[in-house]
Amino acid sequence: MSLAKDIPWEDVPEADHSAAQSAEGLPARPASSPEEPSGWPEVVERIQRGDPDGMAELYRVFATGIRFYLCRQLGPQELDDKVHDTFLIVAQAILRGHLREPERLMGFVRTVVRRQVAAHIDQVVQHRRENMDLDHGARVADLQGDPEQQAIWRQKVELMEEVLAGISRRDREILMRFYLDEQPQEQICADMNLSETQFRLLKSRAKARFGALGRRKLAGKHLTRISMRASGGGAH
Amino acid sequence: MKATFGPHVPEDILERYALGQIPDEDSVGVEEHLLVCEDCQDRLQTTDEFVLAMRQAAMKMVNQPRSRFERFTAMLAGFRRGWLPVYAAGFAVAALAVVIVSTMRPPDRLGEPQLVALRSIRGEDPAGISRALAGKPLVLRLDLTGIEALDAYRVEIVNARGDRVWDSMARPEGNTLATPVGTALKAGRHWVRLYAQLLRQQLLREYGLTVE
Repeated sequence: MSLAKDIPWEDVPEADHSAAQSAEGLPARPASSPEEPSGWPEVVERIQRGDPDGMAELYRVFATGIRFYLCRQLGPQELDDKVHDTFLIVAQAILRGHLREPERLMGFVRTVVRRQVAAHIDQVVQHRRENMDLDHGARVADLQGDPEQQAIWRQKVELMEEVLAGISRRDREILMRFYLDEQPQEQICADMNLSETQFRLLKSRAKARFGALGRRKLAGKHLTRISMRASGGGAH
Repeated sequence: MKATFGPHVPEDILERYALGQIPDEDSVGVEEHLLVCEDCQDRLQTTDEFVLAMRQAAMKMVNQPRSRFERFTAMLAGFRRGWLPVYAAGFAVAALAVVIVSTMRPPDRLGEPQLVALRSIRGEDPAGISRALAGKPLVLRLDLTGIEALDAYRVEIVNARGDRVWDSMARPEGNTLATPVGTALKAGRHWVRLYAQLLRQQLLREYGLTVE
């Protein structure tokens, strides 16, 4: 299913400039830095000149991230096609000179990817509306995986049960309030008479314990990374 | 070689992002960094797995029936900590307050949540779109008929532009899912999306909601 045609790329802005700094505590938008391949404007210029290395660099930098974002939001189905469509939109916009601020290439890519996700969901919802009587049980994306992946995941959940069973009732309640009931950290700390440091420590200990158990029992088995990264290099 | 750019996303921010607690308009810096930083992609992946495993394991524990002995010892522990008399006194004060208020003036309905029943829509039939009042507390009731039965679902509200304005997890009762909305919605068309996966990866159904 191709989505490239659904998004008029000339309408895609280079992202909202005011948003990045608005959230307290959130990292500011990464600016161009010497670590970047050669700076976004140069990459853009090379692509516009028709330099194939420019296109290759664009793909090298963004393909994994685009794949990761799309897979996380939509699941692994037709992932290569979706990555390809997204890359195509970005490349065409650059070639046609529609990227007005080359230094904002990253924001532009993010906007394109988000629109691709929204367009995909809209398509699926529309399809579902039209075929409601036919496919009640169908899903946007089947992330259940193959039997082996399902078995690995069940083991992971069992490991987490082990972690939860191995801590005090109070600590368990704190974790459940945060992760299951999604209560704000401030409320949990106030209710349970905890400092922020104690709260963070409890979470990091649980993560460390889960990680250690996982490494011991599920060594070498990575569940969703398989689908996110496996075909990343061979798509283009 | 992995590509990395700029400072990495702090752990707590990454966790909030994984939990869907960072509003779309504030996620620019995080998402732009994630697009190019494989280290942070890996960390987010690990965090996603941890959160999802935690939720599933916690839910299994919550749903496990407690034995009589456990309930009894829990009650005893509460009594030992001296909370039982506190609860009793609290209930008595609350009950008295309710009686006094109810005899003094008619009930004020301004702050009461409005219950909105949502039906999944067919085509663009406006009759299928539920309505609610802007700026008022809201409790959504979703009809789950025809949807796979799960222990919990994720409910997300997006505005007409597709920006997420609220989301939460909710547990069903039979064929219905009732969930209070933790934010007052502005006027306009909204979509309520029901997901199977706790990390919003499996969209099951969408409901229309017009806020006026």
